[in-house]
Amino acid sequence: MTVYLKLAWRNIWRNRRRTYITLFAMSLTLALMIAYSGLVWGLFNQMERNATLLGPGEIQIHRPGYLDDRSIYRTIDSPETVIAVLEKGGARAAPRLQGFGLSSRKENSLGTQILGIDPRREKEITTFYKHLAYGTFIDEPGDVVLGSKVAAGLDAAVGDELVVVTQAADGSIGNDLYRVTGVFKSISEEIDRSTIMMSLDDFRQLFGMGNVATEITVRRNSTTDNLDQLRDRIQAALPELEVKTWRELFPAISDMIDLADVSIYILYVIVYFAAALITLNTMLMSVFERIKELGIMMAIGLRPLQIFTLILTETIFLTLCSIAVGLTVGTAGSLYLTRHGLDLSVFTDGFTFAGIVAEAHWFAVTTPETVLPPIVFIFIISLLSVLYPAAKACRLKPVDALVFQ
Amino acid sequence: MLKGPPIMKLRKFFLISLSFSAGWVCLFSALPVCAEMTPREILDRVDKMWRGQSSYGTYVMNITTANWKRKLQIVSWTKGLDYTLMRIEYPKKEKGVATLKVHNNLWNYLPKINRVVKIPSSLMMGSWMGSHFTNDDLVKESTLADDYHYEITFSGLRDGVDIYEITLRPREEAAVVWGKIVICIRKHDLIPLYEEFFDEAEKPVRKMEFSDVKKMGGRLLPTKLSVFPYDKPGEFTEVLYVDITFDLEIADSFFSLRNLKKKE
Repeated sequence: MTVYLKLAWRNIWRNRRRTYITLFAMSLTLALMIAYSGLVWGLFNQMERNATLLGPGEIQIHRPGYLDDRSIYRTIDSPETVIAVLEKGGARAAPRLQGFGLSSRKENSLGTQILGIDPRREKEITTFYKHLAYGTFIDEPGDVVLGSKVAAGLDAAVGDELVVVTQAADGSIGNDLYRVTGVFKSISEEIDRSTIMMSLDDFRQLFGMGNVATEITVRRNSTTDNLDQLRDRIQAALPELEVKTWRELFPAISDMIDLADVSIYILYVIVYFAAALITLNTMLMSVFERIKELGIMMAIGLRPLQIFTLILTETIFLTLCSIAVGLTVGTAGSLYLTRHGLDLSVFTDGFTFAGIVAEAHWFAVTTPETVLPPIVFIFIISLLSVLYPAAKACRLKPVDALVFQ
Repeated sequence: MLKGPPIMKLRKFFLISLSFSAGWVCLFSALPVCAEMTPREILDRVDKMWRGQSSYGTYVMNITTANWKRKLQIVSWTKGLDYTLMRIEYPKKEKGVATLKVHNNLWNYLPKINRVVKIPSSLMMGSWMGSHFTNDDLVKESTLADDYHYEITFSGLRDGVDIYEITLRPREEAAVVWGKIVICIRKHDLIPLYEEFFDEAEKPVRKMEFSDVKKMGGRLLPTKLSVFPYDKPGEFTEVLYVDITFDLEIADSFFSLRNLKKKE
């Protein structure tokens, strides 16, 4: 066995230029794939985060029927008991109230969706509090934060007074004065155009409502927890309520992210296919260059299987060397992009893609999920691509091989 | 006018009741003529008498929804089609809440915060003060005969009452919200019995019923008006006139934002 290893190792380094070129090509491919995976997963994570953390949260709990008819009369009673159950079950949760009202500033008025939130708890779930274009998040009673287009439509800026008029839960006219304390960056069409956010207490006072919530939004303590399993556990603990993951609530966004996933894999396949071709080419060349030599080896008694093993061993050496180099370079690059990101703000301010915000500063992630698949793939591809030249080599007839020019 | 606000409605009723005198003339002197009246004449009879009139009235509005029941008492001033001022007197929580309509603009005054809020055109189909009347019911200015094609689709006895049924369909250029309106008018005094409103797909949306015809403010008019939205069975809003005076002198300047904010 050690003879094969020795022989293979020496064979690799006999034609140094060829080996270096192969090594370079394979390591570069691997390094690029690792960094690319990191960036792509980073984008997915960001989109998924923005789809959940700038809106619904990961799981939502409602009174059954609320999703069909978002009425302020379909509420969850004493939401803090529900939240206590959720926190015991390993998740974070925040209560919300949603209603409709007329927002007005001076001569401008707009019909708006009013979202009442618990600022302290909401910060644990969503990142609204740091997605502000101007001003600060809700802090004191009377503070409201406006969607970007709502602010434009009302010609309102931070510090302005805002009148909100609604129909309270008892049918009376709810109205109060608020102070614009912040304006959101672009989040989604719905929030930009029609949402104003205020504290849960202000909402309850405006609508004359007691200790209820129309929605409880949930986030996992750890992103590695399985979302569907968590949903099932919550549903089992709260059988009288409707528990849904964000993927069930927003199938279009979920599908789009899955579709993006598929498109990434298609790109993977293309890049990997190129890597496979390079490997195949190198191995083929190295076999054809040595036909005479292989013929001599066979003539002195090596069996076809032994030839095959030899060539396979060479390939494994070559691949392992490439992996060592590619892994180091690729992971270093990926880590750099994870820490510093790719700042595209020179080209764009970020954009909304199917209702999800993609930010201009793009960060990679570096996890086993992004690093291992390229390694496994390049390993498999090199082994597969050597099969043909190796098979060709071991089927050589020594007599023909010896006279091969 | 079919889409008139409660006030306008009522104002209209009194106008209708004016036309009612004409109706009597018809009945007594020229019955056949009356029977041959064109829909335009019937609608115009109302419209003509309506214009330039003013009123001051008090009414009670009862709103019943799936979740709550309310009773409001409202005073209102109207002048022609262009001006309306309504103020809630009761319940206490909303005392002083007022609505001003001048031409196509609508403002609400909220005494609690002492602010005036303009209702945007996008909310015209929204509910007025939680009732089943829309804001659009309040601002509609032009007459039915101008906005709609009309046609008598039935004339004769229905449920024992001799009636006209007039069907209105919007004119192409008219900016109206309904796809079709059917009005049923009692022949002998030209008092409407009900109006039914349909959307663009001709699906019935709501029905307005007029009842309790009696003499008020010197005229015979239905003093009760009820709205039933078809998409919310069991819900309705009814307006009951307590008192009304017609043809007072009210200056246009009365219908001002300053007056809107008066608490009395």
